[in-house]
Amino acid sequence: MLSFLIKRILSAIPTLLIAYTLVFFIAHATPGSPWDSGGNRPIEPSIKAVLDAKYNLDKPLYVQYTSYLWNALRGDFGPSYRDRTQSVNDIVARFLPVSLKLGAAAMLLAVLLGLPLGALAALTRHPAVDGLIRMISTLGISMPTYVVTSILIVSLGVGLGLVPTFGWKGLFTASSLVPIFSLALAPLAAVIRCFRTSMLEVMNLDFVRTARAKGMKPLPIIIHHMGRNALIPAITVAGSYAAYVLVGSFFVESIAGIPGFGRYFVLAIAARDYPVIIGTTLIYAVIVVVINLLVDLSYFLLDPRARLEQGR
Amino acid sequence: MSAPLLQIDDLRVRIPSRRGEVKAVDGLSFSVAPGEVVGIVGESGSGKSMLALSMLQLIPKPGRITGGRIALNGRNLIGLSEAEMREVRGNEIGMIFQDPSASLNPVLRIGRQVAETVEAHHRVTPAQSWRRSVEMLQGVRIPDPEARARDYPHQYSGGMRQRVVIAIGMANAPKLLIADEPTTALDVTVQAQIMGLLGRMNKETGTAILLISHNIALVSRFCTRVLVMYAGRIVEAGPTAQVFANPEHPYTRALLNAVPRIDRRVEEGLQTIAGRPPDLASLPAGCAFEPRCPARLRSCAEEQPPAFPAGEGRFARCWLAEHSKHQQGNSRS
Ligand SMILES: Nc1ncnc2c1ncn2[C@@H]1O[C@H](COP(=O)(O)OP(=O)(O)O)[C@@H](O)[C@H]1O
Ligand code: SF4
Ligand SMILES: [Mg+2]
Repeated sequence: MLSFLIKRILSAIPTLLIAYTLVFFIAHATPGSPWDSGGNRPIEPSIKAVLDAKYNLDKPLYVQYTSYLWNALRGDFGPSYRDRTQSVNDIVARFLPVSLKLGAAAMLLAVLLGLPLGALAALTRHPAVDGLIRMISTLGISMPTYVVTSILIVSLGVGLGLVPTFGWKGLFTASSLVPIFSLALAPLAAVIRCFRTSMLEVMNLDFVRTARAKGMKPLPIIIHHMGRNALIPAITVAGSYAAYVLVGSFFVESIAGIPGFGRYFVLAIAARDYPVIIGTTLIYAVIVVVINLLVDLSYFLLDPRARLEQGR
Repeated sequence: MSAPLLQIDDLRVRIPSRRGEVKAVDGLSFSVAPGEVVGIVGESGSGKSMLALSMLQLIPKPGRITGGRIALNGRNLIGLSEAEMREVRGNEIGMIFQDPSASLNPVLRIGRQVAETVEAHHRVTPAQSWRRSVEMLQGVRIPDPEARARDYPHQYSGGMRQRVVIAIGMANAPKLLIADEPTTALDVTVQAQIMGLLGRMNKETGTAILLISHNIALVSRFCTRVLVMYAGRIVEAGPTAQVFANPEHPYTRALLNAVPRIDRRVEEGLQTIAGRPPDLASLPAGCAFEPRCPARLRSCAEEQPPAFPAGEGRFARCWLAEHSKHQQGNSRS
C-alpha cells in the first residue's frame, strides 16, 4: 500500500514537468505581450523594455524556463503581470478556495444523488421512473453549462426570486445554489449513466444469483453485491469530472458572478499573464494528479484483486 | 415409504422468447424423500437448471412458473409471497451452482459471504455469524479456516471455492440441497473430493441432495435414484443401478452409450448422441425424442407417450414401455 503510494507520487513528477513545459512554451508562443493593454494605445517601447527587464522577459527563453521552474519548486509562482500588486500565490489563495468549495459541494451532490438514481434506473421496471432518470441524464450531458446556469438564474432567481441573480456570499447561502447545481449537473448525469450501466451488468452475474439463493433481502444484495462491484467505473467517471469541477468553471462563475479560480484563469490567459497562466495550470495539474491518486486508492479499497496486482 | 420431503407435480416453466414460448419445464413430476440422494441427468438445454431455479423461484425474467405444484414438507411453495420465499431460500433449500469462480463475489471476504447466509435467517451478532462461518469453512475442510476466512475468492483455488459454495449452501442446515453441476467446472481429482464432501454432508446432516449432472458415472456412483430429463420432461426414472443397467427409454440408452471413454474428451461426452436436441419453443406433438430415436414406431410422432410403469419404482415415457416387460418377464431385447 505505502510502496504503491510512493510509486504513484514519484510517477506524478514527470507528468507535472511535462505539463509545466507545455504550458510554458505555449504561453510564450502565443502572439502578443503581457503589456498589451487591449486598448487602442500601444505601449511605449521604452516602457516595454523596462518592464521586460524587470520581469526577466528579455532573457533567453531557457533561462526564463529554468528560473521560473526553480522558483515554482520553492512555492513561489512569481508576480502577476496584470495586477502587479499581487503575487500568483495571493491570487490563488483568494480565488481558488471559492471554486474548490463550490466544486466539492457539486461533486458531493453529483455522487450522493447520482448513485441512488443510477441504481434506481437500473433496477426499476417502471417505464416512467426509468424515463425520467434517463431524461435527467441526457439533459445533463447534452446541455452546455452556461445554458444550465442561465436557465437556473432566470427561473429560480428572476422568476421565483428564491436565489440572488448575481454575486457570492459564501457556501452556505442561497447564492451558492445556482453555481452548485450548474456545476453538478454534468457529473451527476455522467454518474447516473455510468452507474446504471454497470449495475445492469452486475445484476445478472452469478454471485448476485448466489446472494438471492441465500435468502438475502433486496437492499443488502443491492448494496453489498451489486453496488460494491458497480462502484469502480462510476468512481472513475466521477474522478474525471472532479478535476474540472473543482477548479471552477469560467461560464458558471462569470454568469453567476462568483469570484472564482475558473474565471480568473481565463481572464489571465486573455491578458497573457504568464506567471498566472503557468502557476494556475501547475496547480490544476497537481489537482488532477491528486484526484487520480484518490481514484486509484479507491480501487485499492474496493477491489481486493487490485491490491494483489500492485503488491502489498 | 415416508412422506416425501419434496413433491413436484406437473410443474411448468415457460420463457417467452422471439421464437415463441420456450417450454423449459413441461409437466414434470417427481418426489424426493428425506435424506435421499437423487440424480438428474440429461443433455445440456434439457431444462435441468430451470427446474432447479424454479424450486427457489429464481427463474430469470421473463421466464416464469406457469403451473404445477412444488411442495416442500407438504407446503406448496408456488403462491408464497416473495418474503415467504426468502425464508425458504438458503434456509430450507440450499443451492450450489456450477461455476464456483462466478458464484462468489470477488470483492467480499470469504468468511463474510458465508456469514451473510446465516444473517439472512437468524438474529445473530456479526461476531456470532463470523464464528459460524469459520465453523462451516472448517466443516468443508478449508485448511486454517480462521485465517482463510479473511481471504478473498481470488486467493482460493477452484476446488476450495466450490467448498465455500457448499459451506454457503449448508450454512443453515437445509433439508434439501440442490447441486446444479457442482463439479463440471473442476478437474477430475477435485471432482472426487467435492463429491466425497457432499456425500459426507448427506450422511452427517441427513440433508437430501438433488444432484444435477451430465456425468453418468458420477450419478451412478453417488445417487440411489435417477431421473432422466429430456426436453423439459422426465422420460425415465428409477433406482440408479436398475435404470443404468437396464434402460427402458431409448434416450437413456443413447446417454449411456455416450458416456465418455478414456480416449474421449469429457466435454464431448453427451454431444455424441445423433441429431440435435429439440427446440423447446416448438416441440413436436408426439414424443419429443422421435426425430432422433433409433427405435421409433409409426405412432410415436402422433401421440406423446405417458409414463408407463416399468418395474419397482420405475417408469418410462416411451411407447415401447407400454407392453412392459415386468408383466411379460424380462424378455425384451
Ligand atoms: N433467457 C432465455 N430465453 C429463452 N430460452 C432460454 C432462456 N434461458 C434458457 N432458455 C432455454 O431453456 C432451456 C433450458 O435451459 P437450462 O435449464 O439451462 O438447461 P440445462 O440446465 O439442462 O442445460 C434451454 O433449451 C434454453 O435454450
Ligand atoms: S416413444 Fe417412440 S420415439 Fe419416443 S422414445 Fe419411445 S420409441 Fe422412441
Ligand atoms: Mg444447466
